[in-house]
Amino acid sequence: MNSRFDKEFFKKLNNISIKLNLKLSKGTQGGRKSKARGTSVEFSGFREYVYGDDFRRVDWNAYGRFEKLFIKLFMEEREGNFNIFIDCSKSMDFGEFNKGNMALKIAASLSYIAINNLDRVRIGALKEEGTELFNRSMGKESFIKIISGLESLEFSGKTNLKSTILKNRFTNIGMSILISDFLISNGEKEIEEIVKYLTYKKQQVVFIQILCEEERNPEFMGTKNIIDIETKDEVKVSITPKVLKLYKSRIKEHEDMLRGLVKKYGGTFIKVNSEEDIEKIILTDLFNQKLLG
Amino acid sequence: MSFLNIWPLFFLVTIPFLILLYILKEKSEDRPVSSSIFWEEIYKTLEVNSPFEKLKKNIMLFLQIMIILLIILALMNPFLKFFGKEYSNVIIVLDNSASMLGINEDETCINRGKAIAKEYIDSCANGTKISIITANKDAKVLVTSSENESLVKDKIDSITKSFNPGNLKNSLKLVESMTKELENYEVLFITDEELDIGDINGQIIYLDKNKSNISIDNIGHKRENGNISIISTITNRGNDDYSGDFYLYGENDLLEAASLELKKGEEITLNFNIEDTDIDYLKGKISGKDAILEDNTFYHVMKNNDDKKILLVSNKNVFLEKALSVVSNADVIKTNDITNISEKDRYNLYIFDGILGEYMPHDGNILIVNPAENNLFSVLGEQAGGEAVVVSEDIPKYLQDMTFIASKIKKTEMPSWAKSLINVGNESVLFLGKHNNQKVAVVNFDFHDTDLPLKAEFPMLIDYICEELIESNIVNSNYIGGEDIKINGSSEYDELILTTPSGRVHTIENNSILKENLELGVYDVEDSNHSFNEIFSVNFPSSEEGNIMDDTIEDIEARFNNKGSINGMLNITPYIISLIMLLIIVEWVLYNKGY
Repeated sequence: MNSRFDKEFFKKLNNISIKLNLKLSKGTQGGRKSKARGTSVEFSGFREYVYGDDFRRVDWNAYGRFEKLFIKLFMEEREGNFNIFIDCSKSMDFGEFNKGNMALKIAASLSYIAINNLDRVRIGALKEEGTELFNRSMGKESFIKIISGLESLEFSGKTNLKSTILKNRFTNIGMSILISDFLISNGEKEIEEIVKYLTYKKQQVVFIQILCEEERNPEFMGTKNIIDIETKDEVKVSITPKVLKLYKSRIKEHEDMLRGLVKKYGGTFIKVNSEEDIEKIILTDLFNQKLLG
Repeated sequence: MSFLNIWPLFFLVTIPFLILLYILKEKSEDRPVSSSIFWEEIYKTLEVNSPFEKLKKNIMLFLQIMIILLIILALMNPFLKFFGKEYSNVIIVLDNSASMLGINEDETCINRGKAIAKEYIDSCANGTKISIITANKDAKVLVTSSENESLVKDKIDSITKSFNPGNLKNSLKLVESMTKELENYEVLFITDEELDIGDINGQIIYLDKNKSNISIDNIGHKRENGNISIISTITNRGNDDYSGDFYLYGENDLLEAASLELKKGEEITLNFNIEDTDIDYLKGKISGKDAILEDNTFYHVMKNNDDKKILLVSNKNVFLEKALSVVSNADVIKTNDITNISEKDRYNLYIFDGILGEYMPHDGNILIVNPAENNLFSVLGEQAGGEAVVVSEDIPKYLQDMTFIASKIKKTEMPSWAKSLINVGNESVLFLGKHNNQKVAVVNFDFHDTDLPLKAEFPMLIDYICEELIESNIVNSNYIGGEDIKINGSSEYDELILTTPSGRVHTIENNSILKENLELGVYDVEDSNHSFNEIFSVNFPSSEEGNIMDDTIEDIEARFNNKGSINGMLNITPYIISLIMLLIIVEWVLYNKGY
């Protein structure tokens, strides 16, 4: 599995993490600056006292000078909780540039960035039989564990994303990143339920859809016996340019549907092509979506 | 729409093979994908749109079947006909002259003309009254106003080739009279010669021939001093220069050969000298193939007894001399003294005009005018004449009404072997009979005592008498196609046996006329006992029928463009080929699009 995470990958990863942090507005106190004002030692500023503020935080020195009650504000430091779910169904094991590999790379990258910022990362492999959770880990030493865990992951079987996600328990506010191809029949309803559930569980929802070139731009013609590698379903279609056009427009509709659903619940949707460079994905796609900063 | 060929329909068997190929091709290849959800959706969408989508799915197959069908259609040479549809009367005039034997693309004009006539009939609405006329030297109506198309077609099939000269001009008057009463008619003229049909509502279909034609127009001979000098005239009647060879055969043996170089329109006369031999006929032949093959061979029968000799013993009877001068094929030798006749001199006919001596010839036939005493019959003296009338039906029709006045006549006792032809009262003034194998005719008056020489019928009567008395050949030697061949055997035969050049044997009546000479070459006539045998030749009328039109069909049609031409028939093959090309382009484009 060395091919998944090579030297080049780590080099890029290091480069990325120096510059970036995962932005998080919810979560426990930790080694990151939250946008919320809190109780850290780092002074942030003053504001006038309003009824109900903690008495203990009134700056009496300022009162002495201005005869007005001011509250001293401090930057709150919170520990981020990142849940990264990887769809481990057979459909992810597809493409010349394997979608599964890309999913693992993204998961590893995001884990690395999070751990680098003393955040808590939980990796969940979504499998047919349920979610296989890696130990919730914190601290740089845990990254090694994550990497070895990711390397040992296998993509096989059918996965029901909805039922698997819904079985997960979320105790902390945090970010849930779901990496999948989202190729689910009657997907709209299921995916909406997933998004709803995660939002209900106070999770910032991030969906990363990975598709390979073969899925986006199939180049075969004529009558084909199309076999679903995950479900083993077969369908015989005579493929003409018109059919291909129809297919592509369907792919686009599906993507738009996903984007719309996620956005509706305040989440982020990112589409990734499996043949793309991981550096580009992290630095451009995720950054542009203001996921990193 | 009609078709010239049916055989391309055979290629329809390729269509099941094509479909089979598609069925075999249909065996689809497995294609694993990460998820088939979208394909399933599309499949369902396609099923909803089924008929159209299925068509699109198989569009290449349909295109290919269309292309095959169109190629078959194009090979069938289809054409649309615009003419003949709205007319209740149509007349088809088919040129049947010898020139229609001209060839273009291995088919004679007459056969092509027959095919066009039948197609034209096919294009006519049911109930159209169809008349068929063939025309060569005479116009002949084969069918009049028939609505039975199959009968008309059978009649067309029965039209045989002819070697008669002539053209459709001969038929125009007939057509004019036939169409005079008709308001709604069309006449279709099918010919190979330029034709102006005037005000007749008609179409002319010109049949093209090969552009070159060389013909042997004549072969003649003369026997002199143990040699035969032969002369032959050859003309280049085509539009191309000719170079080739002329071969002269004595029956089937090659006698002479000569090279020929003839420019367009040039005529050449060839002379040959051969030793006199015992050959019956000469055959000339030209090498090479041209528009009319029939005029490349010429037969010349060499009989030496064409000219007959008549001895006229008379004291300057100008009337008789003038009348005899028009007798054909006869040399008239005159004398006024019977003692001049030598035993050695033999004549076909002896005419004794008032002079009759002891001498009576034992060969040839005899005409006695104003007889004196003789040993054939008794002359009883002279008597007053009167009006002379024809009493025998043997005399030709055109002489039957003849009358003349004789002031005096000889009274004779008509012998039992004779039969009276003209009488004055009860007295015979002209009788004819056969005595001791000699035909004898007797005129019982002096021409000077009658007004007969003043009558228009006089030379005809003399010609008739001479014709009866001169023993001629059964037939002449050489004929040109279209000439009536008169079989004129001795009266002792009722029937004669005619052998055609191809060896077919016919029994013909004596004194009949062969009008339809359906073969060119040397014919043979004999009696059933083979006691005599004569041959004669029939040749192509090249000087009348061998010329190839200088102008192209297009030129003629342009000149007579108001009369139309074969334009009534629209050949749609080029349009079909264009469509095929278009479909191939469409298929290519679709193929490149990945269908």
